[in-house]
Amino acid sequence: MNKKIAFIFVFISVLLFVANCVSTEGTVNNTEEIDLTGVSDELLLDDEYYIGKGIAAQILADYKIVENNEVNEYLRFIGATISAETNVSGDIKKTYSFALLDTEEKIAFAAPSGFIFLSKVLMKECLNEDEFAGIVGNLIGLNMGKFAINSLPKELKQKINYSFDNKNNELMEKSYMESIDHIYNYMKAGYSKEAHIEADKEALRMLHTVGYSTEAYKSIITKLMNNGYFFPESSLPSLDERLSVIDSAISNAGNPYKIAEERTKRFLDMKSKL
Amino acid sequence: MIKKLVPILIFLLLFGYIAMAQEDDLEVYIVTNSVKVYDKPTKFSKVTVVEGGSFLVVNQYFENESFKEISHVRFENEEIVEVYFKEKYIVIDELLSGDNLSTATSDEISQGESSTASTRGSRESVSGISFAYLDLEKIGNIKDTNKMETLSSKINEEKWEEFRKNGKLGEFKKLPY
Repeated sequence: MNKKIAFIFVFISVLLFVANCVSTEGTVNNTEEIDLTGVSDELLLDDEYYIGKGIAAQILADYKIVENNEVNEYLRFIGATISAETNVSGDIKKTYSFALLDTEEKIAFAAPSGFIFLSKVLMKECLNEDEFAGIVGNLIGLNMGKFAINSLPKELKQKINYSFDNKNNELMEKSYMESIDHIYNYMKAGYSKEAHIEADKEALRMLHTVGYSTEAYKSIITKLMNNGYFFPESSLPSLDERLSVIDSAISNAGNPYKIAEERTKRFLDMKSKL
Repeated sequence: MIKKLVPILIFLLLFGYIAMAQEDDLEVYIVTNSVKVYDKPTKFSKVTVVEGGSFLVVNQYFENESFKEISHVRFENEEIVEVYFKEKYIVIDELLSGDNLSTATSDEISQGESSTASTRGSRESVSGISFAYLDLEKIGNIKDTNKMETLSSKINEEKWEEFRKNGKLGEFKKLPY
């Protein structure tokens, strides 16, 4: 009798275990086995905004912001001055936000939808405001080309659209999370060769238009790359390649502006607060 | 041998049933150490926030073991406005400020209707995703200052103009956003 009871329990347990496995597997398959035929891979500004904000949240979870409102406002003013020359539309979600990260790591991020972060160590490397503006301009240039959002695999973009079309919140969250992770890793890995080349061109155009020295841009990029900043991986442009593009852009921009003493003075004042 | 296994199997069986029952129990409204215990549906049927690098779903209840990290939920007119965690502070901002919400009902939001959504709100009305980060530990008093203010794209235009003028930069130009 006891053997029979024991057998029944074992049998039921095995059944439950198998049922549970099948149930879990089924859930995953439901998400994975979707037909993406004909689903658009064009993302909306909404998507860029939420993905960008998600990345900003991740960055803020990983790093602290420099706790000095004056310095952050200074960065915002420089950022606003340069970004006023971008070719963005008037969409409210396509805005630029700037923050200086309180870390000695050699990092900078230009997340989708204009969330720009750079470490304070980058500011420390600069000799004047024009060089600092060069770094900010470079990041805005990286953002303008939408390289980060365009780095997403087609299927992932389709899944986002599919999830909204079919009101599949589970898939939507999963796809957004994957997108956030993908772009965060893409940025950490140093973007792409094309992104840096285009960013250099755009940065120099904007910097010259607002009155910053384009020569300062060249000097800070050279210094940072020689010091191991800006991701000197082999898949990315070498310093020589970038200098070739930079020289050409400087030449096209016209007579470079001089570095104004007033700007250098206020920059050094801000730098001393770090 | 089998006799010895029987109690273990019974325990596993019961444990399995309890676990499965709990999984289906979606009526849990708990805010630990909270000013309030939330016991009714919120206007926000689905709000996704980020906590510690992972997503936490607040869906009329706190559907995640991380709910233990929640220390305080602030309400306005019986709606969740802010969720305070022990270390992080999440602002449910755009759901409150989005134009589409001025006329959208809670049902429309929960069902993902986009009839009231503008272009800007077309995703929001479905997803309800909105998150922002603040460091509660550092700022102490949330009302005084916050990280999102630092991250904000808003600037004082008068001071900005002065900045450009003093720095001998270009003519004052309005931001395109």
